[in-house]
Amino acid sequence: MARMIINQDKCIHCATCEVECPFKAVLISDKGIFSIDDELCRRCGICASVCPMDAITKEE
Amino acid sequence: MKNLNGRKARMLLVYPDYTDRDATRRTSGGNYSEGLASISAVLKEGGHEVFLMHLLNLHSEADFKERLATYGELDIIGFSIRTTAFPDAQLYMKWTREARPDVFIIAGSYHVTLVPDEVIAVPEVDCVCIGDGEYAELELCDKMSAGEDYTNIESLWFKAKDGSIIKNPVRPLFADLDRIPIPDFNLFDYENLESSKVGTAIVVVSRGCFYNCTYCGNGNFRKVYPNKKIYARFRSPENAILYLKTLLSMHPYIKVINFRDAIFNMFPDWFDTFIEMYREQIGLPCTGNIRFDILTEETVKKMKDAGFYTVDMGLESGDPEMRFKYLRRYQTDEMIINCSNWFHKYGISQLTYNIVGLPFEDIHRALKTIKLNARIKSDRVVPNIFYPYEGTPLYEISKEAGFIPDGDFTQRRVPLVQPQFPEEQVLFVAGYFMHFVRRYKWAYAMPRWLGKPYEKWLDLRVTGKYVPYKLLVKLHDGYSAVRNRLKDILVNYTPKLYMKLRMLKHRKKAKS
Repeated sequence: MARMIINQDKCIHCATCEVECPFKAVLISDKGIFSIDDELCRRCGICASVCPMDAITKEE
Repeated sequence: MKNLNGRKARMLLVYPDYTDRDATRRTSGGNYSEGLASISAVLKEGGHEVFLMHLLNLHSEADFKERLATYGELDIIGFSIRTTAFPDAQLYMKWTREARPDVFIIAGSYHVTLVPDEVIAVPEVDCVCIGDGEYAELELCDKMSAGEDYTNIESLWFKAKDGSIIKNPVRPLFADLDRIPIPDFNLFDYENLESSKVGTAIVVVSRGCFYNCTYCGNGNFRKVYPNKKIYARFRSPENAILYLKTLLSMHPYIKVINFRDAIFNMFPDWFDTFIEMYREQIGLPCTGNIRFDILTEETVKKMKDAGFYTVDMGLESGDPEMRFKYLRRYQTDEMIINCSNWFHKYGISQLTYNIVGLPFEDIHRALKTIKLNARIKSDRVVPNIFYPYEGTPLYEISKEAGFIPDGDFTQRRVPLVQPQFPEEQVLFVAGYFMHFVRRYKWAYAMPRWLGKPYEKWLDLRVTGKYVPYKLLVKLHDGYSAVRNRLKDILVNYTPKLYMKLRMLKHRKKAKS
């Protein structure tokens, strides 16, 4: 199944994906690390389309 | 419909540039505005004439009308409206309409972008501009000049004759900022600007910010554009250098560059390339807004080599829960402390921006902000009192919690009314912020057996049950008035001495 992956080297913690995700699937750890909850994510790709750093990709 | 019958437009930009409504004396030459300078450059490139009425204090009706009369014939008058200037701007627009019944009145700037319905409802306003205004206003001037219908211009809303509002969509952003001409610095009385008096140029080489801090309007500005993904953009490093060279050739007395871009290191690769070119081709001492969590030690070293002698950073709250839960600033204490250590290591002093009086904050959480500043040994601090800008997520949170009082809160010193953090405590923390940062720094520098009890005693002085907050706030108000007056005198009458003292202070702080 496809997964949305955040490239931590590119991510600048702007939280645009968190704001835009309609399923509240973007998680932020207490260390400030962004990740995507596979259970909540519906693979709509909105996060990838809004990320200004192109840090989010869909992996098959 | 206004028709200039082929004549190019004459436009006046009105810029209320003051924060203290009681300040009736002219204390400085005011502040540079990149937006207005950029609009002017684009319009002048299109052959139109542009003038500036730079309002440095609250004007009476007579004074305003007298100044307005000095600009000769005008076709369009544009008002730049900050949220806190909106009440005064309404007065100025009323007086403008009385003095010049036929002039076309347009309003722009960020308050208009956030709440266009509110601004276009002002009876005197003919049109509002949403978002970046250069090319919408150029099209307006061009069409007015050519006698064409201008009510369909993207990014502009117009009042129709029947009283309805024509709401045109906002034009897409263009990715390449290099297409905007170098700003018209001389729209301003540049040599007398507050910054110029101390040999400093205010420079902005970017647009927008893609962070989502909940107290800031940027998230909402972004939403107005159809292609918001490119909302945050920088001039190319080459073009940014050209901007600086042009400015310095016009104003060679400039000795310090103050980059006022929202987050100067927003694009880390751009930033690394730019500061390398800056070091080689400009090399003047400089400062800018820097973000903690996307820096590396290598970049900090390069910054030092390029000329950064101080940096400004948004710390905002020392309480991680406030940052993560309410502010949407996902920076850990560890990130902040690490980054700050690099600045100390390379001798760059640091100023932090902090917010006091946030929704759900109390004096204990505010104390964490003071303590984090002490831990990172901030050299200077700016403790702002939280202002809930309409349309921002934190405004909505405050409103929902019942912290926003009924009626006009824009002139309140502490806008939120919160039972757990009363006004006198917010004012106390803001007023004595640096005082306590210094003392906690001493506490952390002492041996533990002495530092711990001293820290406890300081805690009591901030949060203790019997602290006379109201009295202390009054004393601080008096002290601030004298201090600010002295700074005004130094800047206005002995700017060279002020500059020397400033550089000396930064050097001393960076060394310590």
